[in-house]
Amino acid sequence: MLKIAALPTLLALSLLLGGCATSSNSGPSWPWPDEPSSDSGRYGDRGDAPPPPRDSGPGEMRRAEELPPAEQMLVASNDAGQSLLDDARGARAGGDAGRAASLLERGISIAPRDAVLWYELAETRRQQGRLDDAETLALRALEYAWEGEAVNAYSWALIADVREARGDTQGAARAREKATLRL
Amino acid sequence: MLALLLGALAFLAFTVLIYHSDRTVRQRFSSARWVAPAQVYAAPQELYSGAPLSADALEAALLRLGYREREADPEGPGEYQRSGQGLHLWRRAFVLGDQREPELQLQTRHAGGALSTLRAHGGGSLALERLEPERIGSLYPAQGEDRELLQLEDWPPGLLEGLLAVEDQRFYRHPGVDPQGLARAFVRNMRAGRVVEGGSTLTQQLVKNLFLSNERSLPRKAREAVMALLLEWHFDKQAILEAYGNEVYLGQDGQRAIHGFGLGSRFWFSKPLAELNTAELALLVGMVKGPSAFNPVRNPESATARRNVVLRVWHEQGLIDSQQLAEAEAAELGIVQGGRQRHTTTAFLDLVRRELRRDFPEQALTYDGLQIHTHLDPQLQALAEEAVRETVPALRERGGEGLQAALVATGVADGRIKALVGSAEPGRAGFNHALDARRQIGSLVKPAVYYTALSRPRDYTLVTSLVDSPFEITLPNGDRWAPRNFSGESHGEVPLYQALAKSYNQSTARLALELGIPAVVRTLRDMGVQGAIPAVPALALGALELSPLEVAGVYTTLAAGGYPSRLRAIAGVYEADGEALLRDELRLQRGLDRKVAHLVHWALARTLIEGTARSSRQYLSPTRMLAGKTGTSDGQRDAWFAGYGGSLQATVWVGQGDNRKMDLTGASGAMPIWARFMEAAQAEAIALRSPPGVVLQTVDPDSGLPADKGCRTLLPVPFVEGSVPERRAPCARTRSRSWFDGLF
Repeated sequence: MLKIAALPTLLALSLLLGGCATSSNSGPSWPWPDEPSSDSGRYGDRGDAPPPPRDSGPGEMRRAEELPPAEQMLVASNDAGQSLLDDARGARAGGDAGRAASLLERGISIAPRDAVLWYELAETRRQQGRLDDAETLALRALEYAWEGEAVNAYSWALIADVREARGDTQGAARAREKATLRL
Repeated sequence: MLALLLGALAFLAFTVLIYHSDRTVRQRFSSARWVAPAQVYAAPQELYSGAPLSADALEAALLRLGYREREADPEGPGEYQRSGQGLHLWRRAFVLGDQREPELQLQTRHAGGALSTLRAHGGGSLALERLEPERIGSLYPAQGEDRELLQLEDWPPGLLEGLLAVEDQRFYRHPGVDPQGLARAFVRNMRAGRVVEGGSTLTQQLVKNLFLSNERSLPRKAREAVMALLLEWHFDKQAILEAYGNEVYLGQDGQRAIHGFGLGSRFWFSKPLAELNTAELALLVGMVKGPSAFNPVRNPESATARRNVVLRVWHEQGLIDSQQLAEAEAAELGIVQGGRQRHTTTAFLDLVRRELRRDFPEQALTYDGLQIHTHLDPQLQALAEEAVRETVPALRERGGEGLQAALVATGVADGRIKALVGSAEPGRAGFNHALDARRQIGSLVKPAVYYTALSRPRDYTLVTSLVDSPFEITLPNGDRWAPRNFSGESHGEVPLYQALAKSYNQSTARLALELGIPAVVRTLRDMGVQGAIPAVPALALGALELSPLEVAGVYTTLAAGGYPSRLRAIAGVYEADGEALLRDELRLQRGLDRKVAHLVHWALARTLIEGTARSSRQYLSPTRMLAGKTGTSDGQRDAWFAGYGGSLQATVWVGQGDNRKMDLTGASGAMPIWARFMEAAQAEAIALRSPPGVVLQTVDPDSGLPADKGCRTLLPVPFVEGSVPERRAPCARTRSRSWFDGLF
């Protein structure tokens, strides 16, 4: 929990420091805010910035095997992404994984940094038996997720499953270790 | 005896004629191999709340699609009304691959350059809709026919009756030739003393266009009649009409012949056939008689006269009433020819054609009416061309008249090619520099050297001190290699990140030799370089030839945190009936270490702050934090800039077509185009959140060592975990681990 609590502080602090560090050059300094609030324009996916980490409180930890269905826990970062996500889940449930994938890719083109869309695409590929693609896509999802976000746990759980299916027990165990969800 | 012989010969000749004609008619008609060039479309404009789309940009997109503005509410598909920062549009129904979208009335509001609300007209809010994709061209052969295939049921009401009324009133009653019509034409022509009426049936016209030359002779006329009869014998009236509607010649666009009512409507009126009004339909039908004589652009008066003749025939036949006649006769010609498109896609289409040739035979591309959907973003394409056009004149003053340019813009997340400019005059066909100019990439190669170093975090961090001083080595072939800095000066000890940001040659070359050239080659492979890489020391300074497209691939990989995704132009290829032949999908590979790639991002962001591209700030708004690298090849023959933000990558090349020297560098030649483009595109800032395994540490820029409040300037620098130097900066108050570390 310390890490989560420290993050905003750290961000603010480094901003402050960045502000002081301008004597040697006139340009802005590292690090600038991750998501410039005033600047989400043509390619600014204003909707898909990860939500600020929630204060999850003293919740229980869930093991990967016990994760509730993703539909209950994972939502896209904007309405457009969510409507595609709903359609994709529907298509997948109806056995049309190809269509699900193309809906999710459309979503990713709209919100390229929405971790949930990347995760769901990974899940679709896993269901198609394309394990390598599934793992890479899940790793990609992790890059766009904030620490403590539910999609982290799902992505790691997926990676664990994929590794297990490939016979990589150690790798699976390492991934499983990280597939914990705070409720 | 002779008569009998002659008779037999004539019979034989006639039989042969029939036989040949029959074969031609059956084979060529039934195979229905229309020259139906693949139609190429841009990515559809997505509409959703939050979409980066201003009211002006949406209106521009609608105009490119041939929508018409109305003062009042739109009354049908293809119309819109603009009121302030909102639009009410009646979207056309369309098919995209296997997806069918119905026609729909939408209402949008825009604020701050984005779409703020999307509603169904008179209804609730909508999550996501899209416009029909813009047609950006077709892959017609260099000299040849272009058409959009239409089925008979796609003909709008009025076209069929209107066409028959003018061209062939007895179509349903004759067997292919019409003696009655011929006789009437003969009488009229005799009376007039010249040819005023052809007397050809639609079937004969079709036969003539499909199978015969344009020559006017009796034998050809006879053959035409025989073939018309045969065509009607083998095929029904509906099939003949449908073929006629796709074959009819309606104009010329340079080397490209406009065939069929579908493309005819788009070519002359910039809208689909279904949206033509009575007057426009009459003009199109009238032009069948002679698209050159009645060319509405070159001969508007004869075109108007011809249209009005058609309208009066329609009125006589009871197809339109007197009021419709009067209105249509008074109407303008309504010609709108492609003037709405502000972008030119020659270079992009070239790429599409090449990608397709890998998977499809040329025949399929020109004959089968394929639908090709691409990732091109028309708005970005227009901005890219604008950036090139705006900047090139000034560059030519310094770099010479023959100066050329290329730009490749890609989506960082998915490797989609969104804009492509192949020359300094984007509209003109010619050498495609974006694809074919393989040039030395100069310092663009340096991130590979620094990536290689930073992937050994125990030996190198961003603040490791490098030596920038002259040296000389003897190469295996006996040559001497003594790299020099661009300024001619050496800089002594410099922090590693500055050596990259300021693109110092001597320190980079020393570093590369320390690392070993083969290691740098491996990194370049991981970044997605596929061709030959010369494993020589000069590689470290850019002795590597790549095309702008290949460079864009490398920098997209880097921008994506190390996932190389093959750059792709094509989203999908569909048959005319919507069946998917090819569907693009997002595939990623693991190429680079994410942590190390992040460190390189940081250094490349410093390039724009304190390095070789700091003058980019004059083009970029203060919050638009991007990363990039300048490149200048030996003898200043090539000027490069490659860089990216959070979701958009762009690579720019500038050079002389004949590879001459020029007085330009990456910063003065290529960067201005790049920065103008990125600013106009409102490129999202680079995402610099540290990935797991990377920590931020403030350092004293002078010593490169961990610093605290005691130091005058502080620079937060990312380190791979475990590689933060133990020693504190001389200016730091605390000599042991600083309070700052406690946070981690």
